[in-house]
Amino acid sequence: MASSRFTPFERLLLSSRNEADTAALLLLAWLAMSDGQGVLSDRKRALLDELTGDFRHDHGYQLIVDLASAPDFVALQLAAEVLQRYYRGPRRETFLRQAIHVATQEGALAVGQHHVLRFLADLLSVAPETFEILFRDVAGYPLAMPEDPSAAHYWRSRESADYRHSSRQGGHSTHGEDSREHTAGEKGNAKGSRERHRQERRYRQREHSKDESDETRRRRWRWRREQTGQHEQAHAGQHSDEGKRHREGFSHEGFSHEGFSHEGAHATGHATGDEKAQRALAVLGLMENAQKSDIKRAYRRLAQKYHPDRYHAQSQEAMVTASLRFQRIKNAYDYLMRQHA
Amino acid sequence: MRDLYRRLDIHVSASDADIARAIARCENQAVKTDAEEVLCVESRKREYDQLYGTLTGIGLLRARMGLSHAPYWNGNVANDFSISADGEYARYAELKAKVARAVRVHDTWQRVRRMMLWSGGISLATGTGVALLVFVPDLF
Repeated sequence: MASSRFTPFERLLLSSRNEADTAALLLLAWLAMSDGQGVLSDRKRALLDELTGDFRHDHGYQLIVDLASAPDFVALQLAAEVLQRYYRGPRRETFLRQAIHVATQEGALAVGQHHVLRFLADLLSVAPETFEILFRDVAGYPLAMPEDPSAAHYWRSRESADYRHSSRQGGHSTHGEDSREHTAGEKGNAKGSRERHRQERRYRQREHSKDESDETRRRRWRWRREQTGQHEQAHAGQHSDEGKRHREGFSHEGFSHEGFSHEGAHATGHATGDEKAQRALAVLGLMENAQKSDIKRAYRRLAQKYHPDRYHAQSQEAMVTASLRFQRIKNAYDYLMRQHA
Repeated sequence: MRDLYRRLDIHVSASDADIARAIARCENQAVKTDAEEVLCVESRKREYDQLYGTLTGIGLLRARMGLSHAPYWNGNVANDFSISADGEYARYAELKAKVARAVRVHDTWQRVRRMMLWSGGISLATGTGVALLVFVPDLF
């Protein structure tokens, strides 16, 4: 007979806004921490944050980290059962992609993480063929058999690889956990460095895109300020307005909204803004030379068709996809309206 | 990966001396050399033990969730780390049962409280009536 007290994780699940997301977070944290070091580094935490940004749980991290670091297998079993219940269809592959990303982020796949990944694949009954495709897709190299640390040759080859690596580096730290990302078992140095490059590139790309989104946000904010400024100075002439803009150092790229007629928009706009407008038009299913009225009509039609409320009666899955789609349509419409304002 | 502790017939928490004795006793040459190389080096043993913990847990989870025969559970790992299902029932069912019980307790408490409020109110009214009758008899 089980006791009637709730365990901490059960309480967390009950108070969470979405139990599937909470369960997924616990399993991903477990995966991140079963790399033989058992701590959640800042980098891993940042990665988890990034991956789970759209999770709709409403709680702190600490309990999850505690449960995953000294693995509480009762809690993990509960999380796995919840996941098995809620994740069906394409949702499973999305989750597995996230999992593979978490596991391969810090260099080569650790043996523990390998086994956890295999468990997750079995849990969601994703066939090995599918999982291998997913893995190659995300990690960039094929999934091998897990290595065998109960055999002496695993350690010998690993430590000799470590030694080779450190002697090439100029000889600090002969072996240790920190150099494992370059060397795991039979994998040679060439492969390690290739992987490292790939990672660096990925990391840089992410940084870049983050910068970009920051930039657009800043620009949008500046534009809004401009607009309010315009309202305040509506009585003032066009010239003084422009002068002010120049004084503030308003750059002319991207969101240059003043004096746009909708025909001129594509001709004079900067390339990035132009591309964006084209993408937005494509989302609304319109041609390049669409008028404002066309855009409005298309938006109304699509919004009615894809409004999440229409999918309320169907599965949660359908509603989530519908709301994502609706959001995309709305963003495109808002962008175009700002362009045409 | 093999479970060296099980193959040496000792517990994970065995002391270094016990491990050395078990290794000396071991007759399988392959296990003997591997165990010497892995369990007698401090740093290797630490890492092996961590992995051992993870795999034991995965074996437990798989046994309890009916995944002991899934495609990715095979070879030495499956041989050594599978445990027989230990009659534990599903955690999710357990959670639901707990919630149901909590709701029941809550309902009962609400009912009792309502009854107590009613009876309290009635006795208060009666008491006031009696007091009026006793102390202010002229009223009637």
